[in-house]
Amino acid sequence: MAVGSIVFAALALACAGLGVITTPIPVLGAVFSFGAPALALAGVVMGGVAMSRGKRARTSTDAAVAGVIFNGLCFVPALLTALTCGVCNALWSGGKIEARRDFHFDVQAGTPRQGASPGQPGRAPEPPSQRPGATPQPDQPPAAAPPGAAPPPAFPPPPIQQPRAAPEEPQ
Amino acid sequence: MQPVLTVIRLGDRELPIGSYGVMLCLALVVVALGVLATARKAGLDLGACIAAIGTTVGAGFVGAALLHGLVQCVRHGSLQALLLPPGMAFFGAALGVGAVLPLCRRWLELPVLELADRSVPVLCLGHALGRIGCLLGGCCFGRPWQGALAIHYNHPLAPAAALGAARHPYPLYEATGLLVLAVVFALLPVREPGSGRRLIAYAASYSLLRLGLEPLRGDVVRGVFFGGALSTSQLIAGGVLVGCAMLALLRRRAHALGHT
Repeated sequence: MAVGSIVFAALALACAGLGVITTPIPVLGAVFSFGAPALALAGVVMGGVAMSRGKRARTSTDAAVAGVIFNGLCFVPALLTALTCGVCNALWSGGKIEARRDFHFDVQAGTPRQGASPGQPGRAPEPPSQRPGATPQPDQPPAAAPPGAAPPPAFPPPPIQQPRAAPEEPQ
Repeated sequence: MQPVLTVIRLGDRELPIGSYGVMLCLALVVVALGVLATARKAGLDLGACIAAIGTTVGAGFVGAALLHGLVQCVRHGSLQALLLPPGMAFFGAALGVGAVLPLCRRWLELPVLELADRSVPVLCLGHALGRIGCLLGGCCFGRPWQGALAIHYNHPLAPAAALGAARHPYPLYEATGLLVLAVVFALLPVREPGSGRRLIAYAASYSLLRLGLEPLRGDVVRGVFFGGALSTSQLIAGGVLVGCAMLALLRRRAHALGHT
């Protein structure tokens, strides 16, 4: 059970990574993203049980302790992946958001750089370099991504962009 | 308010790290470490405690998501609402945890009520941290309000920003109330650990806090039941209060019978 706990931690970490990579793929990304913390929690439970049994049987609990610590450390990034990529993929799969190549988060300014801003419903205007006939600036991204490249998702969707009946938020 | 704490860039892709998720992780870490410290102090089996924490956290998430889904179904009048974007409800987490506690007690042979009684201040603290996550994330917002402490949600990624207007800082009120509860429970001595007295007191006091603050909530998810008169939280908080009162009466009667 202690070894199983360590295996679960490795699987959780792998699932979290796959969750990030497969975010644009409907359903699959959510399966990986939400599966990662579930695996880490299962690993924690297995490690704890192994610790308890080892203590009662007076055998070594080192592997179990390692499993618990490893799973605990994996749980944090796994949960963050679930709450970002997993929720994003769930929105994506439900057809609630529109993927936009030009969407970027701007933490410092507190607003998405090229997304919709408050009071501006609908699609944001294209930057000058992406307008037909405009000259691309050296410090700006190219207008079109390489063929076959998956577009990054716009998460969370700007509320103004797609008005909903009610914000789906924790109570 | 800062819904996106930071953005990690992986090549040409961006991975936003939400403040709500970070605060939720912090709350879980604080609660887990606090419960383990309490268990060590009480001389309980640490391995069993770790397994119990893992089980209850998982049950809490499942319960929170299920209750949110149920509310959405009631709101929309269709099971298809389960396919809507996922969400979480605190009382669902509490119900999920409550459902698996007896299981942990039997399976892990752990005195879960004693552990819970001793850990109440840490539970309050973790709960308060979660509410600060709501404040940073811009969710669970209050009614429009122009007075003291009013918050204007202006970040476009905050759900409250879509509705505009300055609002009551509801998550801040609740976090403050929970911090006060944490201090009170930390100062009160633990009498009869394992009787569930402190856990019942926490459930009752939080339900009262929630019932008192609920009218200040401003998100449109409120008022789902009885023609919009009651929200899910009010309904559950009322049920929890009645349950706590009945348990207290039963305990008093059992105590009186024991003395005669």
